[in-house]
Amino acid sequence: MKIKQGFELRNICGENIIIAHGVENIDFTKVISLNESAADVWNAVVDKDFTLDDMVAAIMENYDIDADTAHADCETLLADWRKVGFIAD
Amino acid sequence: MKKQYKVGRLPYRVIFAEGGRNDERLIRSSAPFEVAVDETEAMLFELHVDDTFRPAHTGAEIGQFDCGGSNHGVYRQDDGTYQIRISDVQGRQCCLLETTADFSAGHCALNGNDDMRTFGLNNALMMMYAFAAADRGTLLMHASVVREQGVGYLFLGVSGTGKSTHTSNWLRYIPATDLMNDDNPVVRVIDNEVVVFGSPWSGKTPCYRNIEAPVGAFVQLRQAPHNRIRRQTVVEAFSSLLPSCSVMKWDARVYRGICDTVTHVMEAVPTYFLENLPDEAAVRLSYETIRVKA
Repeated sequence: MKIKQGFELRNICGENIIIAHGVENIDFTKVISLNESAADVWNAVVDKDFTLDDMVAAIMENYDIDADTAHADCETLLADWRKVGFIAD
Repeated sequence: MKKQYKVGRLPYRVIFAEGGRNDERLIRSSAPFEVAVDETEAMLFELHVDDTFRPAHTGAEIGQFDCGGSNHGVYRQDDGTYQIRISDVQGRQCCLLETTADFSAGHCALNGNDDMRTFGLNNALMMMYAFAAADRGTLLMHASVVREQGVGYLFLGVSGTGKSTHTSNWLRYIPATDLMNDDNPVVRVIDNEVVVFGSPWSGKTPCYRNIEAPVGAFVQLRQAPHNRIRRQTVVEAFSSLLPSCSVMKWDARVYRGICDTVTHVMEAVPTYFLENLPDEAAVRLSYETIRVKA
């Protein structure tokens, strides 16, 4: 899977905010903010083909957390990202 | 006939075709912004007004967009050239604009009676201005702006939220305040300072003033059965400011530029959320909370 084209993570006054541009995102009017760990995952997988395991690896690289918890958290995060429309398979 | 204007310290030129029925009388609200033509000066953009102009090709449709009740049909060619068909609130086509991808050079043909031509040309100028300047720290915003003690305060909200009502109450209840613009001010970040400028575009209120002031605050308005004010969070502020700017989401140069400028604005100026009644107490609350104390 991939993060769809046109979504961009920006640091705005200390907050991690996703902005959307491009013809395909004309109707995307939400402003989504990510916490620090979600932003780390985003930066690790943006602009490439990735799997859930890549997301887990990104979390475990930066945080002292066991594999099961990281896996569960990334599943939740991925489900959120799918719901918002960030993900293309 | 060539006319040169300067809005928000950025110069642009409008060239009316000789012998046509269009001239600067169509854009009387621009008169306070007219400057002498200086051929040596670099322009933000040049717009040729010529009713005989016809585009060689029409690009692919990007979409039809509602801009304050009037429709803008936007088309883009493979090389980035835009065509924009501007209709008025009655759906009559007033202006056909073609512009380079960076909005530095445009041609437009006007249509209909003088009111339609005025509407079409002003809308074309607003787009040329907003999108040519989008990567120059410049925003064309939808806001009503008052000035008090030399500081500008911008009130935001979709049409009908009472921006003009709130600012007219400022003029009524707060001494020595004046209206800078009632609909489309220009906001720029210049040397890390946020400055608001009057413009030739002010909606239904004739308020075309060539004046500027540092910005003290932005206030997002919402009608409510009570008066209450608070600072906005970063996400709220971004969600108030960005939709208040003229923007084209599908154009990366424009969109990134405007997001950058909004970010710089947020770093420098506080934004508030005001739930309010259309009364004096709302103005007192907003004034006491947001004013920049000398």
